Amino acid sequence: MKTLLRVKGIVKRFPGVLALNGVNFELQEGEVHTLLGENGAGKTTLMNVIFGLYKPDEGEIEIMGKKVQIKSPHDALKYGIGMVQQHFTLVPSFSVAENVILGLPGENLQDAVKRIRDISNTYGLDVDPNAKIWQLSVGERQRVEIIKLLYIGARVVILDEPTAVLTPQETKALFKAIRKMKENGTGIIFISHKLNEVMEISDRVTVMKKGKVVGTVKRGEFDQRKLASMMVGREVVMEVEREKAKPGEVVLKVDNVTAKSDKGHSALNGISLEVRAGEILGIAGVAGNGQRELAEIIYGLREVESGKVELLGEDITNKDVLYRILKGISYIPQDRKGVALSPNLSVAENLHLKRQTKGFFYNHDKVYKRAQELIKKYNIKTPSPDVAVKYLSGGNMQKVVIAREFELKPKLIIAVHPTRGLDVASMEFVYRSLIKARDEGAAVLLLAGELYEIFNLSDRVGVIYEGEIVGYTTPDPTPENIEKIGLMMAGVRA
Amino acid sequence: MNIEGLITASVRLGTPLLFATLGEIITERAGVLNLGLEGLMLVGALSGFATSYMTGNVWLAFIVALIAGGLFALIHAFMSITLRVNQVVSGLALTMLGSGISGVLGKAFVGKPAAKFNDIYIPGLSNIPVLGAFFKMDAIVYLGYILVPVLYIIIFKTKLGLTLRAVGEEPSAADSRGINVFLVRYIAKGCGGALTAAGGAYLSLAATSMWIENMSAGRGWIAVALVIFSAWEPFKALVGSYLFGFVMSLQLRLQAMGVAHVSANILLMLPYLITVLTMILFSFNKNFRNRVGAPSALSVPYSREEKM
Ligand SMILES: Nc1ncnc2c1ncn2[C@@H]1O[C@H](COP(=O)(O)OP(=O)(O)O)[C@@H](O)[C@H]1O
Ligand SMILES: [Mg+2]
Repeated sequence: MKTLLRVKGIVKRFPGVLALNGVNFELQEGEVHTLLGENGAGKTTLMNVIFGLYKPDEGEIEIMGKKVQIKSPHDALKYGIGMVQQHFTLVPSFSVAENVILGLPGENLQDAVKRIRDISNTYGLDVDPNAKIWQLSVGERQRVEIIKLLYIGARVVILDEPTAVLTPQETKALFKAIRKMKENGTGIIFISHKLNEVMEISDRVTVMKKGKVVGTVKRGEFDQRKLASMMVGREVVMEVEREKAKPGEVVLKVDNVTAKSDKGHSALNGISLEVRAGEILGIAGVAGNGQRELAEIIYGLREVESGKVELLGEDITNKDVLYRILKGISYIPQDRKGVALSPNLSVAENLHLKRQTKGFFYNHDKVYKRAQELIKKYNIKTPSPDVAVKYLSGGNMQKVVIAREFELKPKLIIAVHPTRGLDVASMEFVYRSLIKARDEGAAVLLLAGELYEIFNLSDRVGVIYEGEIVGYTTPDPTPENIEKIGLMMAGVRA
Repeated sequence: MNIEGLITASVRLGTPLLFATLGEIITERAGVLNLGLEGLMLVGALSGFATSYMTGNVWLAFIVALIAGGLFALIHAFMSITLRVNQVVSGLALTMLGSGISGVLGKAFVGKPAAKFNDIYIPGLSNIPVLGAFFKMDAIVYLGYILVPVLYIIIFKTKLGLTLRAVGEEPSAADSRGINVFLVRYIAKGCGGALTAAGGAYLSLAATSMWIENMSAGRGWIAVALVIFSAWEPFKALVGSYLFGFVMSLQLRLQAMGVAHVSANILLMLPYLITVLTMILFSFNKNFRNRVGAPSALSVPYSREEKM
């Protein structure tokens, strides 16, 4: 087997951060080499260096045994390296085919449409070449990104956390395509947090931590436990301990609510549920079955068409968000950078955002001081409270959100995919925080995609399907119960 | 008021606007906002006039204006693309610089006559009743007629246009396909600046044959609004420019007839008013909003390593 790519001693510094500290990595023909590591470990930075987006401060890159300089993606593409970035690089107003031929000399649109269809069929990457990108779902967009690479015959394919945005079915399809690429001798660098996926697809796994390689292990030499412990440097007990819930009065009551999605389709179809003080109600379901809309009607971000929302017996259906915040509703949205935080404001300012203080002026010293305390209390890793929050890793951003929300001593917490994209340590932190809030008497509504998360945290489990709760069950991870939930997620009523 | 006369006046008054608007469309399609159109037009007007005064060759003068505009626009390109200065500020700086430089250097040319583009009657077409008026114009007007479909085809039907629009919509997408975002933006700026300056040159080489200080008289700002009105499309730019040429000619006529003394300021306000109204109307239509609009990366400098 030939070595397609080898990097040696890569060092990359950002202002105040040593993102890569002497990294070695290699990729062979026809292998899936997974890069695993906590958030902020430097995985994306390494890939950006290989793809020519970042200029390394030190180190060498070899392609097929020859030393090369990669100064831009243009160079990378020339050497057959392609990358699907975490944030897609597609022009929304262009069609799929236009995005594919962009930058390629001597391609014409009609031929491209045909070739895209061929590639789609061969690799099972279903997408309409004439559709506009803005019309496509996230999963479809990712397929377009992959087709872009297959179209130019990339030998090295980098996939940066491709499964973070996919449904289980879409992940399956992606893995099929990856296997097909392997057969043709393409080398794939796969980045993911999800250990079960890593187990399934990888031929080799390299674990990174704080800008360094911890080690590389071959298939057969690793299992989930081993990988997890390599990642965090200690055995992780993902089973979070907790007491039995002591549910109190009903805090949230959603009664027969209907609402529309952004696109104007009906998203909630007469949904009803209750959450009591001191309990966590986990809602399982396939993404896109009304989870986001449910959270938004409770928090007041989305209009209710019919039905009622009650908080502690008070009808709040038509109240605005501020009123609900003051009444004790907290929201941990799925979108950390856009909805939960204001990326360009500092950590201190973001921590201050929802506090209601008297007077017209804002006291920087006080805000700064309080931020320092919260940074300590919640163990937020940031160079200073004055750093823009966008520079933090995902896990630390989520800590900022949690610190801000939980300091308000909420009566009701709505958490949507609260650990999406987080590393194991941050995940554990989020779990503990939610359980602590519960034990202090908050009602928690958890909307999550991962079943283990639901099992780990919930006191009761409901399943949402097409904007309705189709049934409830217990959070027992027994095979029978999992099957039962699976059936409900597919719309079969309990 | 005969219709032919109106057509002639509208087109003549609209042509400087058309060139300036087309120039800015190219620039903005690449994602760079240039508010320095007024300055560019003045540079074009003066450099063109000076060349024509000294050589008597109007075509040479026109080409010099194009080159001067292209180079002058590169100042803005350097500030906004390389140094990543705020584009509103750098655009305003360009306007002030342009009017300052042309004011100082132009002192020597005030009140002097120079050569001028003559009208060319297109055989056959100019004999058509009424509409023939469109074909009794000077060469630059005809150049405008040709430029509109040519630019339309380049922007929407060619790979070059695809690249240009990608750079303005989603530079990271272009970059990831090996396109040099900075180079494309520089070239678009240069070409756009040249066209805008041509609009200015029209004022001193065709509409009149003299140099008057600040002779662009706010047309650069009207063009900025026309770009939005035209939804960044050449054909709509043509309609918008001539429509506004029509409004300006009405004003002149009304004043000449002594009927009413409509303030020039009110008329200058019209394109902005029309732009605001169109945008309000368009914003009601969701489909439209999705498809047409400012290039997404407009006025956002591109950088690979800077985090968003
Ligand atoms: N463009 C950038 N500017 C400043 N810091 C950056 C930039 N890109 C990454 N970093 C920092 O480098 C470190 C590694 O980040 P990254 O490679 O994104 O991690 P991962 O992909 O493993 O989660 C983090 O501390 C991150 O904040
Ligand atoms: Mg990453």
